[in-house]
Amino acid sequence: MWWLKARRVPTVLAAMLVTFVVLVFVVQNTFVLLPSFTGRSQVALSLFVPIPLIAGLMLCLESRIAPAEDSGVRSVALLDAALITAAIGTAVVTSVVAGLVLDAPQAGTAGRNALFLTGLMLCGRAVMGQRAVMIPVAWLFFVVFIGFRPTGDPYPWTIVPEPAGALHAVVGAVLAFLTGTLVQLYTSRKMS
Amino acid sequence: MRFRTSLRSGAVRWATPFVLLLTLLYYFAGESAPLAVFHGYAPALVAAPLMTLYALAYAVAAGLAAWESGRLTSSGVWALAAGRSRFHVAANALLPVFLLSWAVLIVPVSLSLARTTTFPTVDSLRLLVMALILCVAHAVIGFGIGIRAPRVIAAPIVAVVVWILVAFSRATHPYWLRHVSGQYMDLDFGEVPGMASLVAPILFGGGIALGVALLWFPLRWLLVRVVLACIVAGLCTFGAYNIVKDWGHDPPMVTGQAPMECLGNAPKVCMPKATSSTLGTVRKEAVSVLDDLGSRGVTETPSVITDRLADGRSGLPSTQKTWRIGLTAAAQRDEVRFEVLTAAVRFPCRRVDPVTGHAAWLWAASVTGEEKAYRARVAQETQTPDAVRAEKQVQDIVQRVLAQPAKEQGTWFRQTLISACRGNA
Repeated sequence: MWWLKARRVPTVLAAMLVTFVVLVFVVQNTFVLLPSFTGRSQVALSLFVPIPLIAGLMLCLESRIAPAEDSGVRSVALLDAALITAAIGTAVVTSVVAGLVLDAPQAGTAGRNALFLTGLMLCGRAVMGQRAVMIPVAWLFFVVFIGFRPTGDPYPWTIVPEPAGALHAVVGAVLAFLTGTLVQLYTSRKMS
Repeated sequence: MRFRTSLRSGAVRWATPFVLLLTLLYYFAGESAPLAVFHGYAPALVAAPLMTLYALAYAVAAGLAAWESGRLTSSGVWALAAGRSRFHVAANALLPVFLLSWAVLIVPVSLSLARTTTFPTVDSLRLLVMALILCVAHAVIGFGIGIRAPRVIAAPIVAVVVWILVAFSRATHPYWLRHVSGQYMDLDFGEVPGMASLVAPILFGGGIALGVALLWFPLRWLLVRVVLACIVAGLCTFGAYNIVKDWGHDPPMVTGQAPMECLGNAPKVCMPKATSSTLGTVRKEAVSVLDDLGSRGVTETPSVITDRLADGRSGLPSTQKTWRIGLTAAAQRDEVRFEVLTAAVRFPCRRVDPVTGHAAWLWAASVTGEEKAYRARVAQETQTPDAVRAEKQVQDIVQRVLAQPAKEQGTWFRQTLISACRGNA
């Protein structure tokens, strides 16, 4: 239990999960027109909903008690992976449920996007440390600026603005998340 | 902390590649309009790349500033700062952030100007200066948030929220939001943004930033600071709202700001310097049309014919003495004669009876030898059975009129311009 507390899970992560759920219910299927370089980027606001949650996740992972964790017997890396999976899993389930309840398919993509962006962030964390929290933000900027065809249809590599039914987006998100978690498992102990 | 130290240790160092890559992508992917459409008009050249990049610059400023202030608090510098004023400490940490967010704006603008070898004019830099000031305001706001909230959470959220709010303002109601957001639209040839439309966003963003800055003013009681901050931010927001509340979709523009070149007298024909290479032929064709009409007794010649290109989007109407015609566009399509005779068919009302109106138009085209251009123009309109029948009627009327003596044709034309309005008055 010390570990949950050290990770500030009850406060930070819980608050950010609540924020996530509230945002999913607020934005639902809202689309906004944002400036873009390549085409008409009619963007669902649900694209941006995961940002507070994964920022909170990063804060939790960074709230370490380094000496105790590095010398301890318990595998903190495994616990961390479990924490990440639990948090993002909750997000996926709530967003899918919200999508069904509200009949707003875009709300359902918030969970998938959380999966994908968390994966990106965790991969980046191995290299950049806590600065990697800005990688999902950068990804969203790139997607809005150059991720759309002139017809308003997103390119496949963008993942996040794809509609709820797009299979390749789901596969991509899951792959990104698995890669990120594995990277996290193998590198977390080396980080200070 | 010296500038180089704050640059090397700060967030700007690792954010720069991402931000500059995004900015430069504008050139590889984003330039939708060929630069030639601006006719070397510096304000429009500056406004075009800025349009997509305001929001990015503000988001970079706010997000990185939040990160920097988080670094100052977590390292204890903020709490320690007894020796120097807090403003000094903040300015030191923020200078690299300013520079990076300014680069987002300045680099594309310089590229646009350089590629067309256009020299920036003072007026063309209005939008840029407004955006640079707003970057500072956003950085101060982000800094204030980062002082309170953990930076890992504050920086991404602040960046995304600022970006969405600013970028989204263009496509949302009520209109006043877009006029205070600091995201300006593009400019047309001859347009310069009005001063009030630049002051409003600065008042809005700057007011909020000032309120945030007041929060760390050396006053003992937090409550006083908070109240003071709210008053300042509220007053500035209210002031900005009052400036823009009556504006419609577009902010007020000053038009006719492009340098013009004029030729001759009665009529004096004017075109923008940038497109005036054809001015001589344009005037010759305009005069020949007026002479053709004059030979039939239509002698209402204007004293000035000026190019509508320099009017931007204002759509100023022609008057009896000043005709506004899209001379540059007409010269490119070789339709100057047709556009001038069309301007001569000037009705004293907005709604015109289609048959009578077209009859006057076709007559003017016939006496100047431009029936072909007239037919081509009419063919572009929708061809309903009714319209085809009306056009037949028009042909008959004009045939009859053309058979009359020249003097009477002129009288008929003048009367027709008035009678075309009567039916719909």
